[in-house]
Amino acid sequence: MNPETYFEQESRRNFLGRSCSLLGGAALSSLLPQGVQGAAAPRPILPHFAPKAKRVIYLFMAGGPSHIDLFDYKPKMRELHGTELPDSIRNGQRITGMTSGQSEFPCVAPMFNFEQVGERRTWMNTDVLPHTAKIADKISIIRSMNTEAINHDPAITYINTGTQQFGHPSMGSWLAYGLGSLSDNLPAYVTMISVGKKPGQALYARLWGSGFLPSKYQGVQFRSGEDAVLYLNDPKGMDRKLRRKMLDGLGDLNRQRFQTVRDPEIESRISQYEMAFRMQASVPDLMDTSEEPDYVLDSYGPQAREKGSFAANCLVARRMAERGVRFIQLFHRGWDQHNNLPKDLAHNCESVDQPAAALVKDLEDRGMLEDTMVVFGGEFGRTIYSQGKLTPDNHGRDHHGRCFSSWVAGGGFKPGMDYGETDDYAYNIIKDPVHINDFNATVLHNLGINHERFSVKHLGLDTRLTGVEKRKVVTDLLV
Amino acid sequence: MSLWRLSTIACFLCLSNSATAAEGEIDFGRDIRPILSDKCFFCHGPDEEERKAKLRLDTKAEAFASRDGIAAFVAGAIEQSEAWHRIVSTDPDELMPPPESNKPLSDKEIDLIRRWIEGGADWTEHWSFIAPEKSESPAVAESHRDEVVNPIDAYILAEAGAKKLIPANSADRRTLIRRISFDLSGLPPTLEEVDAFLSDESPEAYEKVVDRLLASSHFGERMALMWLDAARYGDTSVMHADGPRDMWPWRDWVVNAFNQNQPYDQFSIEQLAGDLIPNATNSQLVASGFNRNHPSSDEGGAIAEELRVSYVADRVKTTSNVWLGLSMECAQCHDHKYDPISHKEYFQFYAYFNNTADPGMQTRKGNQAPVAEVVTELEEDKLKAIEIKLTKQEKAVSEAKAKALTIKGPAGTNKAAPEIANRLKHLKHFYTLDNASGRILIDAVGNGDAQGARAVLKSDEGKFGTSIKLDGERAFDAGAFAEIDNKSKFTLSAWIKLESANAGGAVLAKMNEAQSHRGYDLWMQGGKPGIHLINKWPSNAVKVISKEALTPGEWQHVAVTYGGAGTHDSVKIYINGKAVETTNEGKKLTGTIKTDVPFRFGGRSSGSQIKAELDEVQFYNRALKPDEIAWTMKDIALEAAETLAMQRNAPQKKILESQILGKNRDYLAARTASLETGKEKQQLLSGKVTTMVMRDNSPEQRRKTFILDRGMYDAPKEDVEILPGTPAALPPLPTGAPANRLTLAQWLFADEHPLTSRVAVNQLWQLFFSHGIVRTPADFGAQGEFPTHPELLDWLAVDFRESGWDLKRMVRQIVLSRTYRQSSNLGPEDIEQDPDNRLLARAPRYRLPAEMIRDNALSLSGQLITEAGGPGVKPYQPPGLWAEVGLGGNPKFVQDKGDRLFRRSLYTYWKRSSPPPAMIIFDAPNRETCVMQRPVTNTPLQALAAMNDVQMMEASRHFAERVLKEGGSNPMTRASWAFELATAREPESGELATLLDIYEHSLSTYATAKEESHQLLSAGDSPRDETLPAGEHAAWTIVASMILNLDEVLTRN
Repeated sequence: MNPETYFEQESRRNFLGRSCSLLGGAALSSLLPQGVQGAAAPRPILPHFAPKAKRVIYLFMAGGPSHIDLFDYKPKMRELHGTELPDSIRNGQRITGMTSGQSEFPCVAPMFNFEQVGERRTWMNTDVLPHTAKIADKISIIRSMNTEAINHDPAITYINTGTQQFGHPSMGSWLAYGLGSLSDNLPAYVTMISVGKKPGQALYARLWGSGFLPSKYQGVQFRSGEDAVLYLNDPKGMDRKLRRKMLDGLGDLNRQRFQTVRDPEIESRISQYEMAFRMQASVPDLMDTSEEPDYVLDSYGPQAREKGSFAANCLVARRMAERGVRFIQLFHRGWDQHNNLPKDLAHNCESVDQPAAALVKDLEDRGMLEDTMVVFGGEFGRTIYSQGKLTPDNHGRDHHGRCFSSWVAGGGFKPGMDYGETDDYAYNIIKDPVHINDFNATVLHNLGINHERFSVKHLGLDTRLTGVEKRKVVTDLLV
Repeated sequence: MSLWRLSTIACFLCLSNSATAAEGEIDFGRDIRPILSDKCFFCHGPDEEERKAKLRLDTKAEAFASRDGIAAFVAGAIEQSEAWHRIVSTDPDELMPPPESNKPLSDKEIDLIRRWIEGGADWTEHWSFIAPEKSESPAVAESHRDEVVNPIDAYILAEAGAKKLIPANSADRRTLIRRISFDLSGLPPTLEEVDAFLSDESPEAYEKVVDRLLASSHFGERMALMWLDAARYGDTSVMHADGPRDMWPWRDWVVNAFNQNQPYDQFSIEQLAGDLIPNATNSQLVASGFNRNHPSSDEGGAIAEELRVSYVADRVKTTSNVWLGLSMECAQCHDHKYDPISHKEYFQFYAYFNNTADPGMQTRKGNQAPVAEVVTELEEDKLKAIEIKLTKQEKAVSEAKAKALTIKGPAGTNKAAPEIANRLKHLKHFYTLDNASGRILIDAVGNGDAQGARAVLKSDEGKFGTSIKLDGERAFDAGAFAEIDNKSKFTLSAWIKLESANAGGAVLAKMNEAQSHRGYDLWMQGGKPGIHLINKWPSNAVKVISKEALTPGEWQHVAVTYGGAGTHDSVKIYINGKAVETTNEGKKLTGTIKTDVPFRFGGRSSGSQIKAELDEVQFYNRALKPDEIAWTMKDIALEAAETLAMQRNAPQKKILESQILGKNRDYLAARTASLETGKEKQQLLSGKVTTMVMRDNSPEQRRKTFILDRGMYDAPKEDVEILPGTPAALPPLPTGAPANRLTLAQWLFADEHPLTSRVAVNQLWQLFFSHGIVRTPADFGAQGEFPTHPELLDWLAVDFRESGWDLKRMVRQIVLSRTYRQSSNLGPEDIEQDPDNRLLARAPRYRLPAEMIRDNALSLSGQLITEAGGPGVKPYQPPGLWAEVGLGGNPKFVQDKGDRLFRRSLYTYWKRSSPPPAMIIFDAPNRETCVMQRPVTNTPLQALAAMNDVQMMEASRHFAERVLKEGGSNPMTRASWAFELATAREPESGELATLLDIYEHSLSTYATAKEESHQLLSAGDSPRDETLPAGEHAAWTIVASMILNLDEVLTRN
């Protein structure tokens, strides 16, 4: 397996850079200029140790799903319902400009039924997560995720790039850069977007961008329209035979030029065009789920046949995983329930519960779960207190960064455990906090990467996905 | 001697035996400091807080200081140098750098350090902090001496000669003219330009081409590409909604400044502090927008101060990256780890930018003050035309009015009562809504006639007379409605009939939703009436809603009074004349509620429209008392009609006149037309383009700067105020100069400043050699790369300053050098000897920047529209990209039409959360942060974009059209013509054969496939020349597309 095939045949720089890592660096390092800097430096020697996982499927719920209403329920909340949030719990927490003007902060217990599911009898909202409840023993729930950010734009940037500052690579880009692709005709990092009932909060190209790394490492967005990848299809009126002929001519002309110019970049260009040609066949093949057996399509739920739905994207994600895509990130929008939470949350779960559970089972059935990490979570959680008016059957919740819940499965994670604990208000962590960058460090660990040693020099600093603070791998979560 | 030292000596011996590093003179700055910086400074550098063992290795005094008889380094004495022992120690507790730092020294680095210590441990200060000086031009080997065109070549040839590299020959003229055309204008040469150059036998032939290009207005457009990346320019505000803003007047200023060859110091000073220049011109004010290009947010839950601090930090970062080549941002949370910039010095620098007047929360749509107005000539002409039209129309209104009022009103029967006059004195606007026809609502007592885009929906079952129906779509704007502010007192009332129990929305409003909902409204929420009074929702606002709801299907009266106090108590709500209990939201209103949007019937500025019937809208300029509310419920028009004609007061007369006018079609038509033109004029005036600029707070409102602990916005150390200042390692500020941005900007250009001139020439050099002489253009600090040609960099830097910062002169000098004019072909040993082309024994060859790839295609196809400047344009892009990421799926991308599809890519609208995909695919940055060097990558997505983007296919079709019309009469001449147009050279015979093969193959495909050829030829919006045979046209389109995809065509050779 060639870790770089998707990206390119060797350009001069990469040729030297990679030979260096293949040979352990000793012999060829003298050929390298002193003090090579920045992203053009030789790629790091990865993995640092034997990886547990080969790939990641990250189900990103954008907008801040309510941990209280999904995964972090406690029966005590029923007693707290309607009572004012005590100052001892809020404890000086800064709150967003949207509720800082509120005069009252009444606690709200979830307006859903919860049951204890799985062998460990963990609480889950079985009204809206019946399918996730059934795979409770395959997933581990982290209830102590936390972030400093309390608004969408900084928070979603933070968890996806490891910092709230702009200009840094996204997690997928780091991995594309560090690990390369497992496929010779698909990108290492792919994103797909689906929308809940309302689009809600915005996304930004930077969330899958490559920041200061070369742009070839940015996430390639796969879409449900005619062109699954931008500009994939030949122009109307041009058939594949003619495209082949044109590419032959192009390659021929480029090779003739190479004889004079002798720049290896020309050879690289030729192979990129060939790769593009292969993608024109492999991508539609990948996206065409119509040949999946009915039982598989059915298992992903009623929306699995609707292109662009989260369900369809989950199925495509599995197909990408099979074909060697390294980092597959699905964004599902619309989790920002400032109001109308009971209805809108249920609606979102209807779109994601069954497909996410089916994906885990499907991977397991194919023997791929053990080396595929599946992550389900958002950028922050929501407040125990009501935003706006609390009525018997309706309320909203504001953003909450001090704790939230994500679940993980496969790829080096222990199945069926609960990690971290919050107080009765699901407001503060009382045990085993997992900062979002601890979590990112843990994902890297499963891929065989020591997050402290995986850095790129940017403006003089050794810059890492996990930032400048000390971060830890959550070893308790690992098999 | 202790045991561990013995073992290290053994190790050292074996090392020195196996050392492979090339022998040669050690240069501390080039060879040793980078090692110390990268491997040691993190714990033993400028950062006091992190410093371990109180040992500091970034200054000479400390590195050689003896402490208790031990010194890190002792010149010439390896054995006495403690650092050496630590470096080669086998004891993990002693070893330096410590194993857990993940920064092991390589054998080569260890060897360099050994040789440096043994050779006398020469120490120099970091090169970039010492002011540059011009050195003597170095000696060049005899064989190349006559090739030296200017001193640049002497430095390059001497260095290459020293490394035994053989410099490449001069590039041929065809390559050269294509290279220089792209480099100076971003566009390919025309065939005529190529021919003229080839046939010019004068020795100045090349200089003539250079001077022609430097004088072209495309020079500024080409230079701006680089500057826009550095300045993080975009047409949207990045954060949260990423809404639109207008900064293009600033962008046009940049293009113009390059074209005018504004000296670089002025160019810089105006951008950093144009607003502070005494008697600043509007253009200087516009220039200061450089530091308003940063991302800004409108997110509802955001904390304004947190954002404001982030904007100031961005200005510090960008300014220091762009002009100083320093990563000053690293000192926001602690002392800089590598460079002499302390945490305190960071905040001294920060203080220059901290007194700015723009707020943390910025607008979702449009520009946030402070702004400068920009009036174009075109708009001035328009305004004049509108004013002439308006005068005519107003005359027509008075004529129609005089004619209509020849009818007499009713005689009346009742005597006038004095209380009537008292009541009507305070009535400032009154809409009987009886004259409901056409598109206007007549104001019976004031000048507030309202106008809508669609006809009024009339209901004959009004409360009094007829009424109007609001259907959730129609709205009527009263541009001249009375201005209300947060301290105004007023009463607003109306009869309302709701369609449904749950009806919600704004019945009447003057509210700008895009400006934090600034304004006020008569609001209906779940059938309950109420009011908003908002400066900024919800932090500076009051909202009061009745606890009682209206009954749907019934006429009910609602009145709201406001006493001007900014509190909930100051608001009273009445239903059918009776005060009701209310629920309150929002804190308190203390700021203005004035906004530019008009008073509107039926909705707010951009939404919240309601379905309801409405009658008898009244506005009083005082808060009526509870017992006065009954006034607002009377049928005032009837009352006027019943009053004896002779005894009617002025308002009553006006009310009855309006009843007559409202039924006169001629009057209504004339009035509608004049209102419409008035609105047009208003729009033109309010739509006058603005661009965001810098402004400082007044001295009385000066914002104090404090160190922010760990850089956190909410942790100012308020015990000591930090005053503006520059880092001590750099030259001092002039004494007595005011502590403001203007002084900072001027300080950058002080004669002895070591950084500004070097950073600037390095940035220029990069444009022509793909890399700078310092290959980390934004980092000239200890962690940055050492220059490949330090003396050349210094020579250029001093020369630039001495020339009066003459930018075109510097560019001209660089491109006239032999170094620039070399061939870029690679010799057999080039890759092995100098893979990265650091020594420039050949010219670099690299793929064109994204913008040039598109502009090249447009230019070759003859489609390029060279019009300069103006708002960003939106050429083709695949559908749905904005909606997929936009807040609530908005805004939607609306593709432009006509010429705007073919403008230069510099003018493409840059939405930063979803930048133009064909630009991003070819390595353009998203422009959220300062970028001083684009990477150049080579990917399959680039191949797909270049082959299949509709813009490229449409260009191929037009290129093919030119081939058929201009390329001679047979396939051979045509293929040759097309190839030469795109590459500036004639094809070799083998190349020609391939071109013809593809042409013939394509022709045979399309000759029989009529439908397919028409499909292929329909790419894009522009029409095809139908006189050309479709089959041939399609075949040449394929050939043209292939040519546009050639490596040589995508590349600057």
